[in-house]
Amino acid sequence: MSAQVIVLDAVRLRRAADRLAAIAGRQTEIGSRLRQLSTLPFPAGPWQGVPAELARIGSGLVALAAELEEMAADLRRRARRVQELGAGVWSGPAPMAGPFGSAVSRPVMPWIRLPDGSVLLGAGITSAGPPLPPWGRGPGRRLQQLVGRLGRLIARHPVQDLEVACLVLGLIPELGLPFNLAAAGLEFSRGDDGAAAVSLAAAAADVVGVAVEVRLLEMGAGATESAQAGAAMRVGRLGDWSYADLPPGALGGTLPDGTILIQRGLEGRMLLETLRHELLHSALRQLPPVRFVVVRLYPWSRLWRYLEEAAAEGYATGRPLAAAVFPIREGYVTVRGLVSEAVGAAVAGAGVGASAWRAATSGKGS
Amino acid sequence: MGRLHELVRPPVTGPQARELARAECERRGLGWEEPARVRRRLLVYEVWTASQRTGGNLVVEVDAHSGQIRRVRSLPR
Repeated sequence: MSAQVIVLDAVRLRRAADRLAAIAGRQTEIGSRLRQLSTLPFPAGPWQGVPAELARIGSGLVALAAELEEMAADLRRRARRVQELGAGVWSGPAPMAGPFGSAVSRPVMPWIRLPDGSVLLGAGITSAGPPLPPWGRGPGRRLQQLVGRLGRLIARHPVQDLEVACLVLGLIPELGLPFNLAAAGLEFSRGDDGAAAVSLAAAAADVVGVAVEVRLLEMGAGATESAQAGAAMRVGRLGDWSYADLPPGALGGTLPDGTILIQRGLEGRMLLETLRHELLHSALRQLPPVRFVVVRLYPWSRLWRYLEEAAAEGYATGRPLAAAVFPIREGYVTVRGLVSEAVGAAVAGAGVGASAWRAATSGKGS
Repeated sequence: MGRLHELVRPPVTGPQARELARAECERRGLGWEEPARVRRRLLVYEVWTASQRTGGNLVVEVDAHSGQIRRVRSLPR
């Protein structure tokens, strides 16, 4: 049985509840503003469906804010319960023989004390909250686990990282709307109204672009680039990029500090694709934990170069098959070099694995 | 034996290949950007310009035996 662990710190829970409530307040405000916008007169033609769409998004945001309020109230309830439990649990002797994960003995109630003095407590404390939804077994249970993991993953990352992730994901044509809205929410919550306005504008451009696209398709005009409107709007504010004189045939490049250079004169769809391609390189070079490794791996490892270039091209064009052959077609790596490194890595991995297994089994036997 | 020796220690050295690549880029009017990285494959040196940059590099292939320029290409992005 996997123990659910929450932070046994009433103050922190209350602080989180306050923060959630503040975000909910901001979202309500954005939702109301969007609803007001929807009452403005829009010109006829392809813009006709926009007010209704804005009103729908506004209502969605308000509903989401209500859910956040509920979550905040739930957190406050948990904080109260934790306060009640706290005295009972911690006034007596230690309730377990060893800390969480200790090999000394199985803990009665898994716990771990954090460096700041707060305590993480395991099974039993979940009774502080309302009962878990009756999702039962099978897919529902897996979904619950997945949501739990996602929640823990999000909780571990600072808001800035989430914002950057939303900005990058917001560039995906036709699918960027929820990420742009999420970015707007995060930016409003940290008080950066200017950035939030840009994110909202990008989201609105997404809506308009998709609406125009649908309308044109209905009229039989065929596919256009309108759905990329939101992504194109993002280009203006994304990262540090500038035009530069690159060698003939080159479209763009990324420096080790994440700065993006674009071939002078590049415009339109090619600019957007190149920027998206470089954005992935840039993002990898700005993330502190992976930056150190990536900057060194790229020049020396053909396998890594292949993976990074294929991923960047896939993100840029949305065509996975073309992306898979891109690094080979353009000469970043050769098939022979790639295969030899992959085989070398597999042999080395197998060797290390075999040694570890031998060491483990010989240790058991003695 | 002689061929094996040439494979292990080819007549053209890495710094020489770098200079040959640089001269070829200048002759073609292509911008030469430092730092350049020289990497040896079996019979060919690969010289990458602006090696700290990801994308937009010039790659010059120099024959390790004769010093001839085999190919000059630029990486798109």
